[in-house]
Amino acid sequence: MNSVVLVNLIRFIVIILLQVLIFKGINLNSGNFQYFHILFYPILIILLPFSLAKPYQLLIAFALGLIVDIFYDSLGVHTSAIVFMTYCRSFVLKFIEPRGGYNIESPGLGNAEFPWFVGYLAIMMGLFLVFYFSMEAFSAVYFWRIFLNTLFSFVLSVGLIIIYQLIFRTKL
Amino acid sequence: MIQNFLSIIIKYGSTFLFVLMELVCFYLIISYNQTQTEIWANSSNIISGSFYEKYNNLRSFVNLREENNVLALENARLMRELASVRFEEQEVDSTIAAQFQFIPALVINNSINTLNNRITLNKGLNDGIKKGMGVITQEGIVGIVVYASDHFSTVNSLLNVQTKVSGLIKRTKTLGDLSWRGRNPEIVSMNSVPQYISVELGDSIITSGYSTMFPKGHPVGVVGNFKENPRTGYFDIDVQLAVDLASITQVYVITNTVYDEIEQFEKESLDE
Repeated sequence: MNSVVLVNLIRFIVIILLQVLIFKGINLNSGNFQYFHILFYPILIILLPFSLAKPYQLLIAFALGLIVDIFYDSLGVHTSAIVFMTYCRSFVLKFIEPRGGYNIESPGLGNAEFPWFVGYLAIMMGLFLVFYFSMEAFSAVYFWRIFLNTLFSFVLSVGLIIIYQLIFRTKL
Repeated sequence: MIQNFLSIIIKYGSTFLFVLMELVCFYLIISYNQTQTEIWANSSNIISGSFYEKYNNLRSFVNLREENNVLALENARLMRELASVRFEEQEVDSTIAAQFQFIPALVINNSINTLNNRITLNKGLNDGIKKGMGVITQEGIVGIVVYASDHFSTVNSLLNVQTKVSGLIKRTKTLGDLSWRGRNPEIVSMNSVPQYISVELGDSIITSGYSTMFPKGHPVGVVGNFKENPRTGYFDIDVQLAVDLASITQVYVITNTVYDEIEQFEKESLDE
């Protein structure tokens, strides 16, 4: 098997398990303050190689979302958000394309510049979290809840992903 | 066939695929949240249910000692209560005493930080659990069973905006409706208590016994805060829950042996 596929496959299995078994159970909130949620698994889509065709990215995202949803008891919520983020990915990559284009194979911190990677990660996670919490509430009545959930979960999740990327600087 | 399908998709752009997937998602979200008949895919489902059970078995090794202590304490308390009940209430009609039975079950999946929190239990239809049964711990009530498969069941916990339970202020014997506002997982709100009732901080809230789900007098919580609501003319009462729903492991599902009879009776009297 091709090593790009192998690395991605292992990463998918490990991070899905981490998300549904560990991060889902961690609760950093108390009392009225219920806004910290760790959503780590979007990094799987964020790190997919540039060369992968968009329909395949969407199909992978759809499957990934369904798996996470089954464990979160929230059929459709995670799936819609991760598919949305995946759809936006090519536009985001075009928007922040460095002068001279991309001469790396995948956007991980192993081969990308740190400021570029953080910007890319922040835009993608922002899109994902806003969409996810909107879908979870499913009504504009919960505007403040959506806003605060997005804000605090963004800081926590993006922080964790950057730490993860600093530790495992994979080239693929 | 699949090659053809994919090439069409690539040709006509992934936007088509994206819109299609989002429509599927919306359909799933709406039908799942409204009717709860789409539960085939939630964690009562055999795959993730048994997966969580294995994971839980592994984890429960770590907690065995503590779990044993809790169970021993509970046994002691039950024996003491049993003795006093036998002594005091020999007059009570034996059919009422035997009306409620308790099926012990373990929580294998739980959440407290969404709007529709659900709990998965490791017992199901084969153990006698049915839709509509109440779930409690010795400290207080937990939720209502909404779906049961052969070996697992899904419970809408008190921390679910769709759960409605009636409660009673023990001291004044006033009835009210309990529901969750979707914020603090330690507090549910109690509505429809009229303002002429003298509510006090720390008043116990218990189950009313007016439903077939919970026996009368099981604790729910205490009044943590209350204020008059000039718009409705009722009190807005914050009830501090007796159970810490974030850390429940052992629960009891209540079976009501005369449930069918009561349902039948209420239906017939409506028809008259």
